[in-house]
Amino acid sequence: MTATAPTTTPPRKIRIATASLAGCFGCHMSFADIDTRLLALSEWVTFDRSPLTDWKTVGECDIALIEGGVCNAENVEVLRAFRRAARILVAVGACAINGGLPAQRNHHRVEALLTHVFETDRHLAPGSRVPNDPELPLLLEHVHPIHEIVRVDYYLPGCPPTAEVIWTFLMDLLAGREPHFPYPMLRYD
Amino acid sequence: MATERQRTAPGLLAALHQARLRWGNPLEEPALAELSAAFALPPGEIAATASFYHFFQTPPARYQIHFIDHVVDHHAGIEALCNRLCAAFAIQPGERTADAHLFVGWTACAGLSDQAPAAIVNGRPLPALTPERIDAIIDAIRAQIPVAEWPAEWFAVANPVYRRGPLLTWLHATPAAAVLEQLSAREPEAILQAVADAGLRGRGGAGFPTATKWRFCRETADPTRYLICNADEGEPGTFKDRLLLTHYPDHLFAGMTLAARAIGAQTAMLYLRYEYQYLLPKLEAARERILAAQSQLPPSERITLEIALGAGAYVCGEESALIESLEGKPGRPRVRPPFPVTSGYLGQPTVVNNVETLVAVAAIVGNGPQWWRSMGTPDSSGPKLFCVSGDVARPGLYEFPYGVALGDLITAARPLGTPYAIQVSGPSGTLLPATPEQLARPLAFEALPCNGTVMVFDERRDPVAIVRHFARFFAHESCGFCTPCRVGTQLIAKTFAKIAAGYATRFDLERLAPALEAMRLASNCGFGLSAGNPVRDLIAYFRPRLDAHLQPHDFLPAFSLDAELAATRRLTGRDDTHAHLAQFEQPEAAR
Amino acid sequence: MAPMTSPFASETFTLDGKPTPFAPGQTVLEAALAAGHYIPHLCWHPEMGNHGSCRLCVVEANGRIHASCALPAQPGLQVVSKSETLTRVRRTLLEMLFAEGNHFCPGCEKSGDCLLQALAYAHGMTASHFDPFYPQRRIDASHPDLWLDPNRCILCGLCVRASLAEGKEALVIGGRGIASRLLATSPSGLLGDTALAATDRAARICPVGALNFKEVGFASPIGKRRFDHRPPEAMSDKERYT
Ligand SMILES: Cc1cc2nc3c(=O)[nH]c(=O)nc-3n(C[C@H](O)[C@H](O)[C@H](O)COP(=O)(O)O)c2cc1C
Ligand code: SF4
Ligand code: SF4
Ligand code: SF4
Ligand code: FES
Repeated sequence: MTATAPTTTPPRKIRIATASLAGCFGCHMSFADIDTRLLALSEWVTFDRSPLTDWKTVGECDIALIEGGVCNAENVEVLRAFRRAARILVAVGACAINGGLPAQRNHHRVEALLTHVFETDRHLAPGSRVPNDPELPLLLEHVHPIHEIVRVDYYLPGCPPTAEVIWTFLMDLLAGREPHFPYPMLRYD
Repeated sequence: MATERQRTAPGLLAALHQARLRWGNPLEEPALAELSAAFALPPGEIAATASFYHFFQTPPARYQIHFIDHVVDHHAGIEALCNRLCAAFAIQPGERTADAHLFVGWTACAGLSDQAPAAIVNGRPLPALTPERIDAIIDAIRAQIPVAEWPAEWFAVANPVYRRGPLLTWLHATPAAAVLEQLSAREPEAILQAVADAGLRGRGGAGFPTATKWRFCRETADPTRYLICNADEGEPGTFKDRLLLTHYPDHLFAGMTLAARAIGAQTAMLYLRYEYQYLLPKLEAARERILAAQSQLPPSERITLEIALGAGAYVCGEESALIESLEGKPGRPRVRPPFPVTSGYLGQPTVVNNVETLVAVAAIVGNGPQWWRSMGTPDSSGPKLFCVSGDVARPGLYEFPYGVALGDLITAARPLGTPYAIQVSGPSGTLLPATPEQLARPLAFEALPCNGTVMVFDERRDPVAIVRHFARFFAHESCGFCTPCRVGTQLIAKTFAKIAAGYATRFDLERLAPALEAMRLASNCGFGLSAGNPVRDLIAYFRPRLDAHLQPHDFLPAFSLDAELAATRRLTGRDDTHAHLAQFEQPEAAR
Repeated sequence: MAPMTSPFASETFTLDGKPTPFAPGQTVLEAALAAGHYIPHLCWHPEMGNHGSCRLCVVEANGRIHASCALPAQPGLQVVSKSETLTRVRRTLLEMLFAEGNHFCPGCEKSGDCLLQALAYAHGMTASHFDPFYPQRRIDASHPDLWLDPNRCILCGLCVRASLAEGKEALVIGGRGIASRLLATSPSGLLGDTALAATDRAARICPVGALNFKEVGFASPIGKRRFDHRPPEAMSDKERYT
């Protein structure tokens, strides 16, 4: 690992919250890949709402790591909640940064897509309808990178970003350095 | 080394115009095949040229009407007029009626700002539109009256001149042929010396010393040279060349002849913007007269005079783009060096001069360089034609010597209200507040440079909306060749669309800043280098007005979130709270 | 023609403080590369020369900004190719190119071998800060061996120039402004109906993932691709260009 951890323990633990919007959890897996160092990380860091804690609401925190693009109404609400709660909001991974794979549907109208998938596809049972359960979030017309919805402070590219990138980023932030990725570490894929 | 397109096809634009008249659309298969054969170019090359020019994109229709999308026309109510016409035929701008009879669209300023609101029908100007005129046009279209039979007064372009000075007086009094008959008019060195002594600087905008440019060209080893008159007059708000082309075409061709002689060119070409094609008969007649005036000369001394027509592309006013266009290519400005004076039209040494510059050449040779020099300022000699438009009682032409104070020019045009913002030199020039200090500035290359265009806006107008119009103009007209301008003009236009939607915050301006910097520093031509000027000036001089449009929020999306749910709401029939999204949240605490 | 320091080069200009020799007719970019001094560029190519469209090669010469690929080297010229402003401008240009196209690198065959991507890495670009344009130009898969994704095309004109140089003129750039796009010159406008062959220089010169070979995507594993470990700057001509 290239980035060195801060030498002194910060006065209080850094609170990190994470969320996966329209993503594949790959970025979270990558985060989990920090592995043994997660333990070291827990010296400096505590987790707020995150798939790692399974809390349902997000409280004030220092860093929000967001995976995935914005595809539906719920994504917008979650993203905004994280933005309100976090001092620093980070777009993690290709989908958060430019919509990624889910954004490939931007070539089509959402109405045409849903009608095709739920109503007119020939494999469907007759009378199939687009689900209208209020529990299901409504899709937006387009999939958006998160920086189109809220202000983003940092971007961690990669599909997913490697554990190394995430670690380096956090160590830099913890040490009060401007995050920097040497050439071979910066990856969009 | 391979350049992108080495193949030249002079005359291709003219052929495309012909094809358009014959087939309706120059890109129809038979047209493409015929042109491809005639010019020995693959069809795609023809398509590349055709797809560059605005007026080749119009779908075939018996009536093709383009309303003028220029800020002065908007202030004069053009949008309501366009909607009135569209509503009568149940179409939207940019659409054609189902029977393919009528197409209605928008186009950039057509050199008619002194008689806004205006439109163009089948290439002919329809100045000074009123709702009544639109209704009459609706009737004419319904009655299927051909445009050729519409009343002549509908097309009557006036050329109001509110102040004449020595130049217009001389032009009025002196036949062009008389200038050519002067002995000195046959001596290249004498012509060049007169223009040098007069201190003439180009009237097209950049103010390059004319004699210096000529000398560069004349000193090249290659004996085949070209003189080109730039009659593209595309800078929005500009219509000074229109007057010269309309009333003094002989003097223009005489000036072209003199300039060609001075640089040792055998051919002089006039590149006329498409929107001025209605002047072609007049110009053609003048060309014949000046050719005839040369008939006594030995053939080796005669200058061939030609006229070429553009097809709707503001950037073709840039001299190297104009040359590309004359060569039958898309009008993309060239990468320089080489400059046209050493490698221009067909790779030969070429001088491009503005209409007014070349008319001035005739005046200087005709009336002497001292006369010219005695007017204006030491660094900006001579008289200048200014076109004033916008919120003034007398939009039109004003002849003043260079050095006239901006305020004096505006006063002469009788402002309707209190001037608030002044656009000097068109959108690519400077947007200034009408403060006493600014109004006192002299219009001259060494002070406040001006190609002659001044637009006056009074306190009814919002400078932010003005800049939004300019942003749309630049986004539409960028040639698209280089990255900073192709993308940057879009980014500016998108930012101003966001401002207009009421979703912009300070952050959007911060995010735009690096784009403006890249355009200003890295663009390939004057277009991109100056396309950010309106935004620059808005921020420098009208910041409070701009801030008034910005939301206090830290950030907002550029689009309506709720509208993005409309389709799925409709599809699911839902209308519960989770089926809606609020656009505006509480402003976030400053972080 | 590869840029070479001519044995006759006697004159020099100053590049980032260093005297740099040049041969007559060389541009600042060519002389710089010949002297082992890298200036970022996308549309210049040793075989095809300059185009002047990407503007990445901007330098400051005698106090003014120029595209170094079009600027003739002259004795005494004072050239700055590295400065905070120039780096910022270049990064902005790269962000612009990413925003205007559909650059979903994880799904792109060229990823790891793409000059645009590599230069973006080299400029520390973590993401394009501009809202993406999501263009929807049609993919052309009509050719038996090649396919074109115009949404990744950066309009560098390399394929156009290469095809012209080999006498085929199979491609051309048409349209205007943001609607500028690569066109096949065939009557149908389709790649498959041009004379373009897989063996053509034009077929393999694309620096990005726009003009691609069919069925050879993702040929090298991650870690083994051209730009995985070293930026273009650290490479020889042979490695750097397609
Ligand atoms: C985007 C752009 C548009 C221009 N449009 C015109 C024009 O419409 N008419 C003109 O005379 N010059 C125009 N120019 C300036 C020409 O490039 C050129 O400088 C001028 O025609 C030279 O003539 P002059 O020296 O007589 O002024 C334009 C320049 C740029 C960059
Ligand atoms: S600056 Fe604009 S108009 Fe000029 S070459 Fe570049 S894209 Fe074309
Ligand atoms: S062309 Fe290059 S930058 Fe674009 S998606 Fe492919 S790898 Fe990424
Ligand atoms: S297809 Fe590739 S080589 Fe051709 S212009 Fe586009 S980016 Fe350049
Ligand atoms: S390399 Fe010079 S502009 Fe592209």
